Amino acid sequence: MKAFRSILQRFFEETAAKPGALRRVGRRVVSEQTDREFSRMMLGQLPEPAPGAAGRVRARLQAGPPQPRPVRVWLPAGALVAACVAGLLAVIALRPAPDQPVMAELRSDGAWSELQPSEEVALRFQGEGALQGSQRVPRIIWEAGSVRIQVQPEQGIDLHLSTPEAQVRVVGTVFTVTRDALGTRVAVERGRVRVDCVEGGQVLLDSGQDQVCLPISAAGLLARVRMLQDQGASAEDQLVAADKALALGDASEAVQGELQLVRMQALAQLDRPEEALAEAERYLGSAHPLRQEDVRRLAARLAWNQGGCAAALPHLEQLLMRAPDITSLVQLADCLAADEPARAREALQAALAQEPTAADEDAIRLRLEGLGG
Amino acid sequence: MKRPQNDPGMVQAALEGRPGAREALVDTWLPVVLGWCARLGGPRVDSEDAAHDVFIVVLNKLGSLQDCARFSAWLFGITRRVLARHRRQAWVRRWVPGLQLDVADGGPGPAKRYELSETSRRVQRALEQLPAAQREVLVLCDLEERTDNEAAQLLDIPLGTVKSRLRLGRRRFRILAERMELVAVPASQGGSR
Repeated sequence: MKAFRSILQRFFEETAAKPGALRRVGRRVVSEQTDREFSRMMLGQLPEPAPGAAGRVRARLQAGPPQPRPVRVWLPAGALVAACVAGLLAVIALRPAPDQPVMAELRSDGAWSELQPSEEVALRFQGEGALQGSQRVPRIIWEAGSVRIQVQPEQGIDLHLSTPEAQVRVVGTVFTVTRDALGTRVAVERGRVRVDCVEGGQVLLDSGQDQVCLPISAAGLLARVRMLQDQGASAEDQLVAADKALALGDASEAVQGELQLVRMQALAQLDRPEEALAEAERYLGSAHPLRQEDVRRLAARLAWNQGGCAAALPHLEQLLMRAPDITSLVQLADCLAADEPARAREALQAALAQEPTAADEDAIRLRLEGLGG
Repeated sequence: MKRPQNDPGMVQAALEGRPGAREALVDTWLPVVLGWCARLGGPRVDSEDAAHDVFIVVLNKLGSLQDCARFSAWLFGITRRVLARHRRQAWVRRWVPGLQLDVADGGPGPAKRYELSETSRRVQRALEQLPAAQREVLVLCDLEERTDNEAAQLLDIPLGTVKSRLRLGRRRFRILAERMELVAVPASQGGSR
């Protein structure tokens, strides 16, 4: 305070302030500081909200909006209101019930769960999502799993459901939405549903129809390819999904490597070995860091089938240095048998060290004997 | 109580409707809003009712929020409007015949009575007599110990306005408190620090 006072004094001296200015300013500063201390001390007497208040409010929020408080109205006022109400009864009767907000987390790990946010809408779900909006305009954000939705028709319910791949809108029907690695599948049991796929446009589904909205990212489409492989889907379907994913251009290096390998394998299965080999050689030439051995092995097999030893030898020799498998080693030995029998024997010995099946072992030993090993 | 900070990520998650995000937002800000309602609402406003109404509005209007980083100011604005409505309703219930609630004296309910000791009731009455603008800055700066800058952001007003409202509000609050015999520190001692 003293330091402040001396600074002020110097300021007033230098600026030739009126006499008594220092005293007046000092009084004002002291007064303001006193007011602040007083205010802080007094306001500190105010109580915190009652214990449990937050819990009670949270419970009320989960239970829905508040009911209007009951009021006691005097008889004359009551009669007046009653007259007005009678006069407007028809209008009021025609108006829809007031809309109320809804908010719920939809989560069910194992068993099916049920939720009825309003009289007109019933949900049965197994998975994860959220319910928002209001009773008349419910919004469902569905993350994973299945949800069966039942909406009473012609009740003015405007229900929207969204997943990352699809927007579904319905006015009155029963339908199921399932989201998994294959994408989002909408199946209509009764009524009519409009499905708007992020990739693939809009479609109207009638009873008994369904629609799958494909994943919208390369990683999502790779997951779809893997599921298709597990389900034994055709190579054609796998190729379509892989091409679609690669065309998106948002794939990471790892996802891109996986997708390209899937593409080569699918091409090979579809009797398009030249394309598959060209693709594999392009891949190996690009020095992609992932899946090199798998692609090299595929290239060796395709080259062997197309051009025999001469074509396969460069790939087989590369494999011998990195990660040889039994088939590659035997093929390499066959290629080298005439010109370099010592290396051929070495390759066969390496194949034997990899614990081949009994039939493979016999074949390898037969070759070794042929080489005089 | 630790005061929550603006978390644009949390608000964005709630806006996008991610599961659990809205509940997290309510959990984080409910104690703050309850505090605002209790201190700014006055003795006739039920702070729990008001806080509940604030979050009903917040959850319905969240989509209209333009800037997630300004969520706290937006929330304070809603709280202020809801409290104004509750205060109007309390006034109407008090003065218009026939609209009295079931609460016999129209005063605070049991939970509210629990909160209020005699001193705190008088402090609250003095605070009630301040203009709303001065009451807000006093509660934010002197009770919740926010900086002038924070208060300016919450109220969306210039820093200079906060400072002048604070100065005038403190002065007036002190005069009112003295009239209610709430003076604990004589003026001559207060400025000695």
